[in-house]
Amino acid sequence: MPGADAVIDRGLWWSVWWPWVAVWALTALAVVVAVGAFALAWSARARAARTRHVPEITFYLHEKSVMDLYRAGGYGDALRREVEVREGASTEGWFGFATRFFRGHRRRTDEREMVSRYITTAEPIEVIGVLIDALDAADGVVHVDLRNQTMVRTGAVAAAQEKEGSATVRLRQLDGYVSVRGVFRMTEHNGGRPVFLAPFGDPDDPGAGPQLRVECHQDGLRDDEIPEGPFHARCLGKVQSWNSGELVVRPIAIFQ
Amino acid sequence: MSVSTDPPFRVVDRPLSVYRRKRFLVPFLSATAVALVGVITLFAGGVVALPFDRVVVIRGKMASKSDFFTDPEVQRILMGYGLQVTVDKAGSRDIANGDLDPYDFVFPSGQPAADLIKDRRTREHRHTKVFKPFFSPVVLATYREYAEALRANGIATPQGPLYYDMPMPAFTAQLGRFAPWRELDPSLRNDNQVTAQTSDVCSSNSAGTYLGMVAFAENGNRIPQDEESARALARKVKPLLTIQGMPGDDMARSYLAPNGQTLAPIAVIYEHQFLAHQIRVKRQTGRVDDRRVLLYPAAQLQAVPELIGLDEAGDRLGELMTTDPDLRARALELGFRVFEGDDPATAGEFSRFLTGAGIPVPTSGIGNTETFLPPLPLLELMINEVGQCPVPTP
Repeated sequence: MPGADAVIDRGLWWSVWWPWVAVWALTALAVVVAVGAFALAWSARARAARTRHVPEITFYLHEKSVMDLYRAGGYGDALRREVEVREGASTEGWFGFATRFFRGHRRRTDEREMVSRYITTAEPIEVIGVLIDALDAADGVVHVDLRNQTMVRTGAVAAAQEKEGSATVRLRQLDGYVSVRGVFRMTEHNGGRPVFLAPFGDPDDPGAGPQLRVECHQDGLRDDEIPEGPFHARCLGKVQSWNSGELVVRPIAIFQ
Repeated sequence: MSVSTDPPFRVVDRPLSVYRRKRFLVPFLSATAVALVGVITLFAGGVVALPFDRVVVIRGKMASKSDFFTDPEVQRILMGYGLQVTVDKAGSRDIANGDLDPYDFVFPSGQPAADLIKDRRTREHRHTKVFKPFFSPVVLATYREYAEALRANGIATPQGPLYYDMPMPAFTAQLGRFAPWRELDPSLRNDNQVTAQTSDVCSSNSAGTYLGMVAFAENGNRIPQDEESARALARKVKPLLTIQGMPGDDMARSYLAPNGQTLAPIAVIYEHQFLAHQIRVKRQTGRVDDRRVLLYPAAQLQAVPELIGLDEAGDRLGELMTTDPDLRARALELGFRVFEGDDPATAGEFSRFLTGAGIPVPTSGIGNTETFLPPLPLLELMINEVGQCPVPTP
């Protein structure tokens, strides 16, 4: 080709094309930033999804309430997913994949049997995590911070706000499950029924002001040793009543 | 302790999902918007593949038309199409007789040289495609005092502030007197014989065209019909052309030089070279160079340069030269007359442009009387007779 060995005038090329090169570079940079932002967010979300809730120490478990709720609550899908996670973890690598992939109809039957077996054989301590995840997913728990006196918005909370025409909500307005974080202390131990109190807000004297009251059964305590003095804990339960400066909550589980 | 009611709780929102947080949404949405606008812009501009596009270097050989391709603005316009044109300069007839293989296109300044090239390519069964982007008459450029001397002796007639009409028979008659300029006008103080200086007739189209004009005028406005009469006519006009002695190299450059008056009182150049100078001076100083004027041979011969594409790249350049509005506009700015559709006179754009640039519009150059050149073989014979041209090496 006649001009093949000629030197390209790069200065001329840049002087003509630099605006388009700038547009091109800016566009490429924007694509990289958009893809990068999305990738980072996706990675963070995947990481958060993979990271299971760090198990707290189960301090108290009312087993009957847990199992009744579990069985009656229709949390089969949650259980199924949990079973799949556990089944996947137990059958490793490509063999596990192949066996799961090629099971087909037989797989669905196996799963139903497995779920059924799991429901009938599961221990409360094994299902409480699934139960809490399922309640959260269904927007069925109001998370409350007793010290800051805040609660996370859910449908039930929004409904309470609207009903009262107020931006704030009182705990006794909630008739669903609550998960209350606070600083608890044992105050009574009446014949096998330990009572824990936690102050509203963060008073210097924990005994001052309104209190949250939780009455437990002795046999629900996972450990005979009860911490002395105030301790941080989270109580899952249902609000019962407001009585003489105490908000009574019926506990299902308490975690530390 | 008695509290009438349980304390109120402030309602806070659940932490947003990662995809709904400002820290993600702001950079993601703004980057996406910029990317979207950028992609649309790049597609609309047809430059999506810009970093991967190669610049095509097109090599051409030409004479005076190299002024066009060495113009920085023309280079910019062509680079906008991904083209870079490199030019080798040579006389039009040298182009016709030289090696064409290294080139993508050639651009001889006139018909005779172009015909030589086309005939040769046809004989060799090689690709040839012809484009005629613009044209420019051959003119005699001189200085006002010399033009006035011719006018005073009834040889030239002024038309417009920068131009004179000049019948060639009157001029060739003056040439045949072999008289000095001083004889026409003592104030000129020039003892050189009245003549028009040209480039080498063996290589230059403008010189060959001038030879044809002089021969036509000396032959009673007739062209020779055979070799014998052509040779005789050439011998007759030879003295009128060799008065100048050694031919010049680049006549426009000599004429436009500050001391051009001593180098070439009358120079045979193309109209576009004169007009480009006037446009430049007008832009720089606000006034035309009224010291320099043109003599238009009354019987005009239009020099139509032909861009001959020798391959695909050359053809691409030819297409652009004839169709691209920016290149056509630049051709006007450089003094060329661009072809406008089927109108061979192409006076419209040219006149409008010159008027807009503050340059007087010549009314000559497109008259009804034409000079005819002899058939190519006879013209070649005459050129060789006058110029004693060396035989081209194969």
